[in-house]
Amino acid sequence: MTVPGPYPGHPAPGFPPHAPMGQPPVARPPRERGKAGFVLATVGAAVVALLCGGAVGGGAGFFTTEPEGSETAQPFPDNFPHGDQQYLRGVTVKLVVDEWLKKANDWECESREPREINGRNADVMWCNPPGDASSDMHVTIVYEADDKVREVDATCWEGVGAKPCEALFSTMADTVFVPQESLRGKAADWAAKNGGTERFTVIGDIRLEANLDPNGMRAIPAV
Amino acid sequence: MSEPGHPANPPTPPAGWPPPPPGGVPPQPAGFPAQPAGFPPQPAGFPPPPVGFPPGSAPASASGGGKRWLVTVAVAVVVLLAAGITSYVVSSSYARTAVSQSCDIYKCIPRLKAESVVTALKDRGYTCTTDANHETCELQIGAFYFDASLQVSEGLITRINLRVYREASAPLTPGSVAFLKWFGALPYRDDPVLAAEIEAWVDQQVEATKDAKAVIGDYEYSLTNPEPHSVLFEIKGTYS
Repeated sequence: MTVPGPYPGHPAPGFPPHAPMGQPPVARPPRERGKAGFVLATVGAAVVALLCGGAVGGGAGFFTTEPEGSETAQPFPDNFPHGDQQYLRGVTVKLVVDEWLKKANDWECESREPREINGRNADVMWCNPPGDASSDMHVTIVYEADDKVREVDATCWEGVGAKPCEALFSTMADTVFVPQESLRGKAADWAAKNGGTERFTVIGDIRLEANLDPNGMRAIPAV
Repeated sequence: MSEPGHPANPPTPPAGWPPPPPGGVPPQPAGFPAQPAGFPPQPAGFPPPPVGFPPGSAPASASGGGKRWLVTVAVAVVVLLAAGITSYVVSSSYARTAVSQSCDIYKCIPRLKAESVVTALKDRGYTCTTDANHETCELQIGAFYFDASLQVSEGLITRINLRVYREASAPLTPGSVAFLKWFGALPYRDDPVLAAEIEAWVDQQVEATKDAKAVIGDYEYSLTNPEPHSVLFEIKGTYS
């Protein structure tokens, strides 16, 4: 059976171009070529989709997500410094000035230049013994209100270790510890013994500080 | 034998194959070999299959190519969605658990409103002032002075500067250390384990009275004792 040739009149020799006789044809069969193209296109599309999807999804996830976390701070621990600690607990100007200095010892008091503390003015009260002893000792009280006493400071010029100084420091400690009744004796005792030093102690929530230059005893809140 | 296809030698039909009548469907000629049993008879008028083309190798027809492109598009869409969703989940979980949040050009403590910290400190008795992008709160208790300055960006905190100043002879008290530790734990306030580690670190440095620096997560912690009476503590987000 003869192979059908080109239609009559066609000049082609009947062989594919560039394919010498006896050799396989160079071009792949159309079926294989189509399949390869399809695979290539699909893989290419998948890679592009992977990159686009990854970039868009990743960007969206990153930029639209708010981190977790509370909008408020954690609670304060009990010993975190508190505004209430600025003042000697339970101590009033009346207690120190009226009860201790004026009533019991006939001292005289006057207001002095206010001090600025925490951006606010704190009043200062200056008290002396009457008469000849007026320059031997003094007590200053720093306060913002009658029940907001920041500091009570006793100073004595009678000489380090002198009995009047010891008595002054001791009674001052006794007074500021009136609201902490159980600690009064301990505080007064410590003040009497350490008035001639530069030691400090914390008793209850009050800090007692002894000074030598000048010789004094200071009661301030502990923190 | 003459070359096939040569114009001079037109193909000849096989023996017994009569030339088709012009313009008509070839009738089944007599003497045509019988079809194998079971093979459906060819319907009358059905054109013979194209000769010279292997069966099933027809180049993609219009409908076949369309199907293939549909497959390609479907694969692309599936991959696009899968990649998008996966990377969204991954990156959003990364962003959600991030220990810092970008705020302007800085890194800030995530979500924590500077305002809420200032309010908490005011409620605790601190005196606070605002100066440009700084919120400063202070409190003096006896021989101690506490100062906390927050650098604020977009309502969030990017830097905390703390100062505890005390008069001579006053060692750092537990309350003062609590002040430092509370701020130190702010960036990790929702992570009790890490917060506890930071607090332990502060305790160690205070006890050693040494200048110390540490990078914890996205934050730089720096505790210094520039003079005997003051301790400085800085907590800042590392720059992005």
